[in-house]
This record gives sequence, structure tokens and C-alpha cells, in this order.
Amino acid sequence: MSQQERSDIFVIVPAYNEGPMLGDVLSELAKTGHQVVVVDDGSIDETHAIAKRHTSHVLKHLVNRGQGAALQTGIDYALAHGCNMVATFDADGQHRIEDMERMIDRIRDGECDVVLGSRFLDRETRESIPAGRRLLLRCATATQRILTGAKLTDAHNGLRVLSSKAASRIELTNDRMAHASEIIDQIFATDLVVKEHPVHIEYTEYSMGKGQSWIDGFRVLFHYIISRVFG
Amino acid sequence: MTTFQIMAIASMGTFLALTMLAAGTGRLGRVPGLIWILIWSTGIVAVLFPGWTTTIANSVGIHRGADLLLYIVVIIMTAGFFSMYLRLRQVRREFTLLVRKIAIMEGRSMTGEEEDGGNV
Repeated sequence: MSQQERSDIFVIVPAYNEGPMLGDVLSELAKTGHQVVVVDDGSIDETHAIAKRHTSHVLKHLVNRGQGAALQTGIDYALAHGCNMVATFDADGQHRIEDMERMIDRIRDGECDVVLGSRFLDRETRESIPAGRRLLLRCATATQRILTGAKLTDAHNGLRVLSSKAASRIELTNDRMAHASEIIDQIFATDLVVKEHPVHIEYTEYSMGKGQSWIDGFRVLFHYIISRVFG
Repeated sequence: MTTFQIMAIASMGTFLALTMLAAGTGRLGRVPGLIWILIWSTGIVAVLFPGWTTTIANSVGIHRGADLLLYIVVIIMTAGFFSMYLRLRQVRREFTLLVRKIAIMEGRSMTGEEEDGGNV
């Protein structure tokens, strides 16, 4: 991939109080040659300062509005800069850059328009997912399938790559975590070709602390259903 | 007339007058104004003639007029809360759009780009 091609790819990193891990994540992303866009979602720790040290594309939400809002800000920014592809990458260090690069390759090779990461297609990750988290994710995936017909193995994976054509079709209205279902809804409502890709997830104490609980899961479902019914 | 009836009618009458004033000056929309006027008027009539509510309650299979009023209040309050939830949701969405817009504008100005009026 040429340097020009690399710099046409925007990696969106939504970050809310991610000071402890963000520096390491951005250092690794900087090596890829892609444009890294950090959307600081109203953090009150050193997230913003750390982001500024690693990339010139730092956007700040004055008030915390949730990951969905941060992603949409990043996507709009990337599209306004003429991106060729958009990747979404979590700031808590649970994703691997090599997985993202393979996903980018699949779109660049014309295989599809959207590649969604799936931890359940990666044997090593599948076996390492804590039991409670695995059940929660399975329920989320099953619910997603019932409500949208999307046959996916992992409905809430933060690692995604979209062509600019696909990114331009995304308009998230769910500010908080229900955006993960909304993205899939919107993608599957189009004629875009969607593929899943096995991705490794690094489960650490830190990333688990940032993850969703069962109560969060029910809250996400409630907001998702309300948004489907009332727009 | 009992003390309770006097107090209830005085308070609901005040609210009715304020509602009519707000509707008359345009501070309250026509439809919400009419709904509130209907609510206050019904309340006053119910307090003045409690036997009427019992008659209506009996006609729909409820024993006491007070129970009918309670059910109606619960339904109205639930609908009101839900309506407020939807409105709050809309306000949050607009607030998010504003926050996102500012973030992109500031981001573009920091990278030395000219702002084009915000078509991002």
C-alpha cells in the first residue's frame, strides 16, 4: 500500500477518560501511516493532552455525549477530509493493529464495503472471553438478529472498517452504546457488501472495567427499541 | 360545600385562569391549552359534583367515582412522563449535534483549515 493510500485511511478513536492506555494505543497507530483521529468525548483526565502529543487530528466534545456521538463526529470529520476508508478502533488497547490492517486489505481488494470485527471467529479470543461477557454478547447478537435479520457472530465489536461510500451512509442518532446496533441496522438496510473478520480481543482488567454490564445491556436494548419505534 | 372542595376549587380555578391567560397570550399552544383547560374544568366539576363521577364510573363498570378519577390521573401522568421523555430525547439529540459541530469546527481551525460555514 502506498503512503498516499495509507494517509487516505482515517482511524477514528473515540476516547473518554482513556488516559492510562491511550498513549500506547496511539503510538502503535502512528506507525501505520494512517490518519488517526481522536475524538475526546468530554474527558476530565489527561486524554486530550495525550492525544495532542500523538496526532494533529484531535476533536473535543465539550460535554460527554457517548461513544456513538464520538464515532459520528469522527466519521463526519474523516468524510470532510476526503477519506477513502474509515476504521473505528477502541482506545482501551483491546484491539490489534494487524487485524485492522487485514480488514482494510479486504476492502481495498474490492471484496466488500464493510468489514466488521468478530471476536467469536478468533479461536484464541473465543476461548478467553469471560463466561458472563460471552453470554451477554451472545444475547446481544441474538437480539440483533431477531430485530434486524443481520446474521452476524458478534454484534458489538468496536473494530470496524468501512469504505467511504459505506461511512457516508451512517448517521448515528443513538449517542450511547446502542449505536453499535444502529450501525449494523443502517449498514444492513443498504445494498453494501458486509463481511466479518476474526479479530483478537485483549481482555485486561482495564478493558473489562470499561466494558458493558448486564444492566448496561438492558439499557442499550431499551434505547435501541425506542429509537426503532420513535425514530 | 366542604373545606376540601373550597381549597380544591380555588387551586384548580387559579390554574385554569393561568392556563387561559397563557393560551390567550400565545405562550401556550392552542392544543395543549385546550387539553389543560379541559383537565382543570373536569377537575372542578368532579369536585363540585362528586355524584356525577360515580354515575360515569358505574356506567363503565367501576364502582367508585374516586377510583375512576385515580385511573384517569394515572393514565394522564404516564402519558405525560412518556411525552416528556421523548421531548428530552429530542433535546439531547439536538444538544449532541451542537457539541459535535463545535468539535469539528474547532478541530478544523486547529489544523489550519478554513471554515466553510460548517457543511461537515
